[in-house]
Amino acid sequence: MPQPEPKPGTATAPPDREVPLWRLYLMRAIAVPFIISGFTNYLPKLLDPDPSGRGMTISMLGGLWVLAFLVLRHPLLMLPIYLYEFVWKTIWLLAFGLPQWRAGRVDPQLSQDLWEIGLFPFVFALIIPWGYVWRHYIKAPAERWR
Amino acid sequence: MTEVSPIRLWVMRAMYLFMALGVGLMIWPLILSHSSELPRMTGVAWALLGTIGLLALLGLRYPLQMLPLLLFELIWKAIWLAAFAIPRWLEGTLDEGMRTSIFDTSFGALLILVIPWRYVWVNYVARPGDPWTLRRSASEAEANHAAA
Repeated sequence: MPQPEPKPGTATAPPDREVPLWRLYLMRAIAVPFIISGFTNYLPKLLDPDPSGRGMTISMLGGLWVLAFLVLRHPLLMLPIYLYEFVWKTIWLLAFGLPQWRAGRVDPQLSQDLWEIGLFPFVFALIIPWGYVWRHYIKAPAERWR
Repeated sequence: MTEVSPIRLWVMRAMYLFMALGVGLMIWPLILSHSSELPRMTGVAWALLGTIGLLALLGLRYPLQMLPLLLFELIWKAIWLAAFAIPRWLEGTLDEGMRTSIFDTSFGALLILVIPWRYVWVNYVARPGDPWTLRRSASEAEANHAAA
């Protein structure tokens, strides 16, 4: 039976049957280590901030950490956050990580960042349900304009 | 179902446009031409901010589907104000850069008015999450199938 067109501008149940359960688990699985590590990596830095830092980066990472809890419950609804993670890490890799590496900069910090940030565009590329993204974020009609 | 009025969708789109333009004009030129001696965290911060501008473009077409981006914007700015800006303001140790950031960040307060909170409540809090088991997944699919 064909699926009814979602009514624009209204809440519709996510068509979870479009995305297999194993994929939902994969999406949730990547959030778990992020949530756990946030308790030691982000939370102490937010509760006792470095007085010399501007704090933008840690606040944004902390924001992603807070939303990761919602991701566990609603991985499909929170898909923009997966896209966000995929895109920002890709931008970092292309605009900062790779150019520095190609310029011959060799230091442990860059190696660590290439590993901890630069690897993840590939991980997210495997986890994100691209067919769902295509159908709902590109091909679907725009939400109502009037 | 939770209806969101067309006016609200327009207000949301205006916010996405504001975010896309703001980031596009302020951050993307920095990302596209920067020195190779950039401090480590600056590159990370620019990539994080630049992404907000890019995804905000998608919000123009799908304002409700991209709501997590608005929630993210509100949450990280609230965290920054609470953990960094307000304590330094109280201590009287704000520098010029921080003052500028507070001014930029204060626009984030508009998000409290822009976000359709009833919609957020119904869809992100009250509604059951995505399925955890095959049985629930199947029963929901059947229910949806029957409804169709």
